[in-house]
Amino acid sequence: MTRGEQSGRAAYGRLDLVCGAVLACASLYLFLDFVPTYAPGEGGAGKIAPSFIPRMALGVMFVCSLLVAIGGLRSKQPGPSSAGRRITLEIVGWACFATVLILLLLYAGFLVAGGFAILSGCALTRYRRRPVLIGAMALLLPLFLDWSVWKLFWIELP
Amino acid sequence: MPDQILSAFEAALTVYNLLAITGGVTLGIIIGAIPGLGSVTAMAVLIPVTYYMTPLAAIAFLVGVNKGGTSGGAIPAILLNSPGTPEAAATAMDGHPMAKRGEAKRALKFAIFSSVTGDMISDVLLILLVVPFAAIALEFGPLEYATVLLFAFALLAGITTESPAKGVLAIFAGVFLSTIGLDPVQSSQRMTFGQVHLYDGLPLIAIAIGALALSSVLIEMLNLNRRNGEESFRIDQPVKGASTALPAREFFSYWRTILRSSMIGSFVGMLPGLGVTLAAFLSYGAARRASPRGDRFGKGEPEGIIATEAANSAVVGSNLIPTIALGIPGNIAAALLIGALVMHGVVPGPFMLKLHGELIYGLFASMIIANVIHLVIGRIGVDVWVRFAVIPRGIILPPVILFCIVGVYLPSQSFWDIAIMLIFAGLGMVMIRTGFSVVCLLIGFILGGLFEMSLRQTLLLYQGRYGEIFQSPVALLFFAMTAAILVRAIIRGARR
Repeated sequence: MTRGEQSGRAAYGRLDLVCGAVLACASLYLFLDFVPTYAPGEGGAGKIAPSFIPRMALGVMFVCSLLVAIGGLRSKQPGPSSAGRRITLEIVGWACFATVLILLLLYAGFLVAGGFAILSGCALTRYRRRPVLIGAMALLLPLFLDWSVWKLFWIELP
Repeated sequence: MPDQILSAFEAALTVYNLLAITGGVTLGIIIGAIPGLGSVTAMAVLIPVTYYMTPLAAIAFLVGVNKGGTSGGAIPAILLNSPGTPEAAATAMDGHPMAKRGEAKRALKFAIFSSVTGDMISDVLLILLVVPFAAIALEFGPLEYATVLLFAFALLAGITTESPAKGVLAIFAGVFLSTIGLDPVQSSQRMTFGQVHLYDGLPLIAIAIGALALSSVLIEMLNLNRRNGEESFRIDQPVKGASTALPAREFFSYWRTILRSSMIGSFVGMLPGLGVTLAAFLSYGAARRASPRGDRFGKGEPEGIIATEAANSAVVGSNLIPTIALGIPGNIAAALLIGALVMHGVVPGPFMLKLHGELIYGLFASMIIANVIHLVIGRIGVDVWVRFAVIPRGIILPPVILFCIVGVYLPSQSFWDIAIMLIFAGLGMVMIRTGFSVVCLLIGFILGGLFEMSLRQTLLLYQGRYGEIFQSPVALLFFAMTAAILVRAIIRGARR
């Protein structure tokens, strides 16, 4: 095994350990507190409680999370890794983008939100060869979609 | 039966239906030809568009998208050595060397002919086998259903993911999510927080588009960002004197490979959970072992393209056998079709043939017609599809976000569904990055309702007399197969 493969496996090992531990805690909380609070625990005479299947699924998830964490612990080796940080950054970035997109859809409408999505998407992919084309697409594609959805389905986009 | 077939063709041969099929196949090929997208993304994004179509046109359209998308992946694989879909990776091994020799058009013709032939054989098998399968499934009680579903879950987790524990975890996360909403037996609220939006459960279309389509597009965009933008694609130009023709006689001289690969693809498609990629690689390996020119595989041998393309397209038809007969999807494309059927008020399962016989036979006729249309469009459009394959991804991926938003908004006209889609896109992204299967999550979510009903009915029926379970040979057989898969997975895990 090469050093690259070793550090890749180690990174996956650490990731599995963290994912397994987080998912085990989450499923345990959902099993013990959340589901009993928000799903009826009594099914009536001779019936199965509505909370039975969600709790069974969470039980299986808890056991599997522990297995994933143990698997990660077994393959854990020393070595630098930035995978966890990168995933966190990506998800934080996505959360920010999604929040702005929803707010724009709610308060500025589809045309502005669509333009924003295309411009930020092109910025993310680092495509800068044809700025005029990108600008035209950010302006015209939302307009075209808005118009065609209205003409085809008689639905007004937000 | 002949009367049903005739009336099915009558229903399928309307202008509206033909337009839907043609549109589906064309869009499927175009989206499949764009590296980073694929038939599953195409289907997920286009399902909401079918909301306003008739059920037959809608399902025929989506089947067309699936057929076109599966074969479209071969175009960038052959021309750019950049498979549009994972299953087309094996096509690239022989297709690209042929393109480098200047035989790109011939390689593309081999791909499209094999794809359509594999598809046709698989569709015929579907038509012949679905009725006997459904007749058997009609004898199933809740116990048999529960064990078949457990088997499907085990197969999905044990074979399609690297870590079975992660696969089972993702499936049961999907089952858990499917329980949100009103309880199917008592109609009491489960985890709804009193929100009316949640009474019907989480919206399947929003979850499918978010977790499957949008997340994979986001991953592609992030990967482009990490590579500091797009590498430029170059298509190898035809060499002077290189052959572009492919006579039918030459193509059918490979009939053994065509038949073998179609059978492998059809068999893989029939088993729940196994994907198109597995069929393509199994078939490629089998063809290499069986061929007298096995040593030429990987160096531009047409038989390699035939083996891959016939097998991956043969999955498309046969994966509808468990979908129609049992309501259990053969793969993720079939799972999306189940979503579309439900959206049109059709519940998949053995009763579907009885209750919606006209629709099903119309669908079979549409599939046969779609193969003919696929052959014509695929053959005529070779020069056009090439242009889609070389469009920079930096400019083609961002608009997909807009199509996803419009697609989710159309059926419900609700911001709630858009928010769910965005949340599941983030979740899908994390799952892909950490090695969890989004497909397992989605199939668990789709089958969760059926699993809950059959398990609860079984528990009520037997009321602690679990010894009686052993009186059902079908249940025992599926229990044994589930146990065998899990034991094999545990042994493999321990060896690692």
